[in-house]
Amino acid sequence: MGTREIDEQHPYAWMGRRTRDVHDIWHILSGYHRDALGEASLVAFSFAQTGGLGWALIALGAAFKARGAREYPFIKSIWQGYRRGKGRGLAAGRGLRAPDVGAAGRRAPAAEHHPGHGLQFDPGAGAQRHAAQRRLVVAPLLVQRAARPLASSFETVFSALVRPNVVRFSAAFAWASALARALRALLRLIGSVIGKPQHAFLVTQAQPTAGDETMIQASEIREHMEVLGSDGGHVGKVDT
Amino acid sequence: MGADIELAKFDMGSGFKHHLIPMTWVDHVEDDKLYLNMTKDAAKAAWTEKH
Repeated sequence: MGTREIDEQHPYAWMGRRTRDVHDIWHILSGYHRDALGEASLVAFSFAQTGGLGWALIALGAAFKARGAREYPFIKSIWQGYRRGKGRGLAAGRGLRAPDVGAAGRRAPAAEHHPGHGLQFDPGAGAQRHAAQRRLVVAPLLVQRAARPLASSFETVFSALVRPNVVRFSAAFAWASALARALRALLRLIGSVIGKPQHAFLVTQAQPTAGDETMIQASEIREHMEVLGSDGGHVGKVDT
Repeated sequence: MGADIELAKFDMGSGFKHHLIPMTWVDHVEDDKLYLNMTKDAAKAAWTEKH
């Protein structure tokens, strides 16, 4: 493809714009809020929908950051976002058209033609939805508190059921971790250059020992000084 | 042990490795030269290689 800019009519460009634009709409349709948990869950949903590894990287990063949070099932919510994304077909390809007009010239009931109807994000209205949300929060907590053998067997069954997804997530994780390692190495390299001490010496003990009359003040030593032995032999040069 | 002095890596005497020598080895400083209280060979036998 070279460096030529992708034409705006190109399917890739279309998909990029589409993904960007529907993100906020998905927030509304999915019920995932704009807080950190909602974003992370929707990002996992988006990865399942589009297969974009950038989404997976963000979702895995959020899950990694939240790994210590025990008061709320953060990671399970992200995983649920992914599962929901996998189970809904390609939501990005769904149209958001105005309600169709029926054959008799009347608008069909709004509930049947809600833009998000085809996506079926909302498991139910009112009490039903709240109950589902409660289950989302409470069920993982109950599982966590269950006896260890029971939890272990649950995980075995669970992992067998979701194996294809785990494999897909593993591939994404491998990519993401490799990218993170490369980034960390780059940052470390940059940091080592920027953070290099201006003086050559590393003060391991700042206070001179009492009675040590031969102690040379560190300020007397400057970079690039030639270091010579008592016999005048060249030993080296003070580093920058 | 006092402070350590880091020697330049890219110097003919260093073997292209960073080395550390303690401040207590310094005898005196004169102009742009730093004189040790031991010979060149003794210093190179006892200096620390920085990893």
